Amino acid sequence: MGLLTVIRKNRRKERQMRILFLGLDNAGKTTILKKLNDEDVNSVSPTLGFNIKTFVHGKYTLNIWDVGGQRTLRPYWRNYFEQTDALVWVVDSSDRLRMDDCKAELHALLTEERLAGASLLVFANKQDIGGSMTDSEIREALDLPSIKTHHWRIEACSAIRGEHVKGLWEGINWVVTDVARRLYWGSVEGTN
Amino acid sequence: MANNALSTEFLDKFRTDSQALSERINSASGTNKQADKEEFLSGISKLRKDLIDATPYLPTYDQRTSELQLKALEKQLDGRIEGSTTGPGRTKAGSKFSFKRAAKTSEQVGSVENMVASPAVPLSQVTGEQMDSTASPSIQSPSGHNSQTKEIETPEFGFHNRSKEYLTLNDLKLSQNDGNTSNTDVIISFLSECIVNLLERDGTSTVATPIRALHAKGLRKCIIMMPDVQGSALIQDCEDCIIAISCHQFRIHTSTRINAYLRISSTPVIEKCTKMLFAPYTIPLAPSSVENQTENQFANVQDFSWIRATPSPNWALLTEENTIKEDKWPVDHVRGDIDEYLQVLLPKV
Repeated sequence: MGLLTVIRKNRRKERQMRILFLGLDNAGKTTILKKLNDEDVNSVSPTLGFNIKTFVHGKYTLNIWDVGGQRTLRPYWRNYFEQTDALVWVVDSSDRLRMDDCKAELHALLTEERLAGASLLVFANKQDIGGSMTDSEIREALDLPSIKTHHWRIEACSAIRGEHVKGLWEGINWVVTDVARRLYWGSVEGTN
Repeated sequence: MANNALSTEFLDKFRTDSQALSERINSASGTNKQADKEEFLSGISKLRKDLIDATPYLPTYDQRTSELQLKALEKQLDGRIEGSTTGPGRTKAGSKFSFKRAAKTSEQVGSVENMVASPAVPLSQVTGEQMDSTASPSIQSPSGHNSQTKEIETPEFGFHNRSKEYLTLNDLKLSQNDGNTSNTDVIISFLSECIVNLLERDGTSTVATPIRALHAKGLRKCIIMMPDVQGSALIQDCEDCIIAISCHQFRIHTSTRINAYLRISSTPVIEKCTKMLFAPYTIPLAPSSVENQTENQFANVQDFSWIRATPSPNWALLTEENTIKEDKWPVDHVRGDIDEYLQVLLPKV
């Protein structure tokens, strides 16, 4: 227990969280990150490697890792798993053609030992596009209710325009609260 | 360069050898485990020796990926031979925590991050096997097979399973969607020998297009003319097509012989594609919605299947004489003579 106490105290001092943004290519991971950071979203190019953004949110410093989602890059995702407190899975809600792909990649991630315990936030992104799937459609398409190993939540959002932009912050607030409860309040909750 | 030739030669041989070994490991009968194992181990150590010998001229990236390939082989061997005997010290996947493993992976993190961070550094060898089979999307397309047979879930707007037709905005019946026509994506799938014209050309002034994104899949011998969609275009499993679009991002996967006419503010991405040709979007198709046009990046193609120092063999720029002239686009409704248009305009096989 001694070691745990030290670790917990240490983390309490820093109040850092490591959040990993993943999802298929074209999901809008980088655009969301830019929007959260209040940067211009019109200049985003497909991500060749990864981006890191650090910003303060309430009492916490969030270190967000945004890794490219091209198929070629997906084998590298695992290099970013270590010490991840929360996984943010970004979905292009208009990408009906690849929902199966999206579901398979997500569920593969959830079996990763190094992501065990990480909170899972699913962003049903691009809600500004008419004809997009709704968050409840995506919940079913990705079979989220079957997830018992992680705390999860789905949030409809858009990084571009409309009322859905606030979904970004609602999602981030949830993730921060969920991680904080686990890391900093020392409450010993199960992961179910 | 001599080094280049040497390393290419080495990588080819290394890949063939390791694939052969991998196949032998897979097909090992398991009747004589010990002998098999020794044979495979010596095979691996020979490969490792070759790799070390090649170090002087091999780029660091290729060294690393080759090393990873060897590790994968060892792992495969472990799983194959020892998996059945459950030797001591083996951990079943996903079971035990160990400091040793953590140390190793964090080292890996460092190197791979560096690698991925720089676009100039090649990524290819890791996905070597996939790269080899880039040629034909019709046989390959990992995700394609499942979804192709499956019904696409209630797409709002789009064309599916059509052939030899001229399709326009009117055919999309945008207006039926409770007036919410200001903003939509379009899904186009499994068309063959069609011309799709979604340009806004009614009257003299150009109406702001309602289309915000394009998803396309399984197109054969089609000409797709899109307006300025502002959002992104995602295209997969296409063959022998012409695609003209003005968009924010353009990604195309597992496709071959596509001529893409783009107006784009970010770098186009191709992945597992071959014989791709790029040209600037022809202005008369549709004016840009952005007033101060940012520079058109159509020529800065990023090939995720060829992130090496050498130029990608999978794409090039369209030559002037093969570019469709501004007045030659089949923008007016053609009936009956679609074939003729396609024959004249489509990329020649």
